[in-house]
Amino acid sequence: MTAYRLERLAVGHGGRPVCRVDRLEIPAGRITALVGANGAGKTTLLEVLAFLRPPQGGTVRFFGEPVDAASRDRCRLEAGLLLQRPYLFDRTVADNVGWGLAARGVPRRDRAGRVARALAAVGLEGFGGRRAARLSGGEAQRVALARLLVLSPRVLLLDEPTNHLDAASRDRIEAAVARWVRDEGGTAVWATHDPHQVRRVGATVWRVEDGRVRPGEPDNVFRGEPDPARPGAFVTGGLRLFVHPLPAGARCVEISPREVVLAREDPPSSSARNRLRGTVVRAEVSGDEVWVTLDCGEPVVAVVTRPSWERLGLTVGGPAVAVFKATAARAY
Amino acid sequence: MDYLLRSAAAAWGLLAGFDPEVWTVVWTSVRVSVTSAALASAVGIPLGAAIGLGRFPGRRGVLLVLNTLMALPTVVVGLLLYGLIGRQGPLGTWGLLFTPAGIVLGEFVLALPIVTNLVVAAVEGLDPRVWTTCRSLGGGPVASARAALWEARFGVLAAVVAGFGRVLGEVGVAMMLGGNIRGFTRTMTTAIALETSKGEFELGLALGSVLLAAAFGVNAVLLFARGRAR
Repeated sequence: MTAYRLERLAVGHGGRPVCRVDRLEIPAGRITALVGANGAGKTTLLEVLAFLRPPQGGTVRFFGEPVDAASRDRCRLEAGLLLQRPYLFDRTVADNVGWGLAARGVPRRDRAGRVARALAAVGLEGFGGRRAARLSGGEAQRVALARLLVLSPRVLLLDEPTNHLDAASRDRIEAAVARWVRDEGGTAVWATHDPHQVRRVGATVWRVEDGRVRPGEPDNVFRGEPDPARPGAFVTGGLRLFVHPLPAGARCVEISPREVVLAREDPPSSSARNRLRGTVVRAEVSGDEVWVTLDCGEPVVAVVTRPSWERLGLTVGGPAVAVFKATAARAY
Repeated sequence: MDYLLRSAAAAWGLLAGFDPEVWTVVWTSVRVSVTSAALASAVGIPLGAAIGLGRFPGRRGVLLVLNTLMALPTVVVGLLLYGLIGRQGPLGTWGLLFTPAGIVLGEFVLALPIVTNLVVAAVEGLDPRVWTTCRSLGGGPVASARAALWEARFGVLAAVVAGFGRVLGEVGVAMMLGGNIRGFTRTMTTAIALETSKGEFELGLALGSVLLAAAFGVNAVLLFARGRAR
């Protein structure tokens, strides 16, 4: 069963295109992760999937049904969006969790039990009478999750909900969503930029980058830690990267493939501190561009135009150098 | 200075002695002001929510008109409505001129743009996530607007208080449409204007004190409500 089938979908914000999806199927009853850097368009895409924002073009099928202006309001009732920073009404926790039920005309006598069960599902038993404004960030996020779960949606859309939370709150939210998917057969689409989170929740990964949504892990995401012996250096399993700025606790470094320059040989005069020698292992033509993967100890991906690729005369199996500035890499 | 102190003492005597004339005037004022502010709120709160939350062609023009009407001089409202409900006016047969209902009508026209405008400002100042949250939880326009008004309740309350303050303290409409008829349409402000011109400073001072106390009381209630919510 497919929860969403997107074809030639164009997603925009205020008339400005943000990202395109050529074809994407999100399976029902599983967790699908949308991985990408901040500003890649994950939030706007989730708003389209939540039927809060119409797409600029293309088609969306929701559990097999084509979605148009007439059916969008009905479909919205079956998809719940959890924001990175959710808004809780200035009422009690129980009023917050029961608000959607009241808006859908569920009688008051039926609400209390459902609200209590939803709060229990996120580990907040007994919180119903508390003022929402006085909750901690983690508790507020779990109330927002309970507010969606109580509505028994078919799909949960999660917009980096654990970004600003401590590890304990993050674990509780991940566990509650995973349990809901397993026990209720729900579908979750989880936007994140944390590759570890993707593994913890066992999600199928789609990456959102450069205005496109593609299957698979994002390119050029390297896990490791700062080198204590060399300021500004970040060591991974097979690479030493120079990154600026480099926070002390950084565990991940990401470089857009568009920031990576390819050369046949080490350029003699360049301000770029990162020069990674390797072997071309793959070259994929995509429109006017060629996506080139080098094995430099770890795979490094670069995008070059077709004329550049032809002028360089690189071949699969031949040597090449990937060059990028320390400021082009982003550490987190 | 001695004159002022003597007048203040006499004014206190009128109030504490429950002078019937003073308290009739106070009651008339409170009655017409509360009624007109309540009517203006009943219309202005939903209207302000619709304008503040809605997006429709001509919205900016509506806001411009509302802003202009906020500064409408009371005597202009009095003049226009006098023409409307006067004996020769199209609504002259309703018999509203020189009645408390006539004052209520004029004060409603004065208060409506204030209440509406301040409600628009209150809901526009809300966190934009309120609307997204309501819609994503399946709230329709009415349920979402009610939730937005609740979130903006202190701004809405301030709008009602501002509307009440405007009509309680105005003199132009009450004078022109009420006629300042003793025991019938004489309000605190028209009485102050009349009594002071007659040299009855004590009565004017007594009524002025009640006006000040009313303004203080209403704002104290607003402040108390805000404090309790925090």
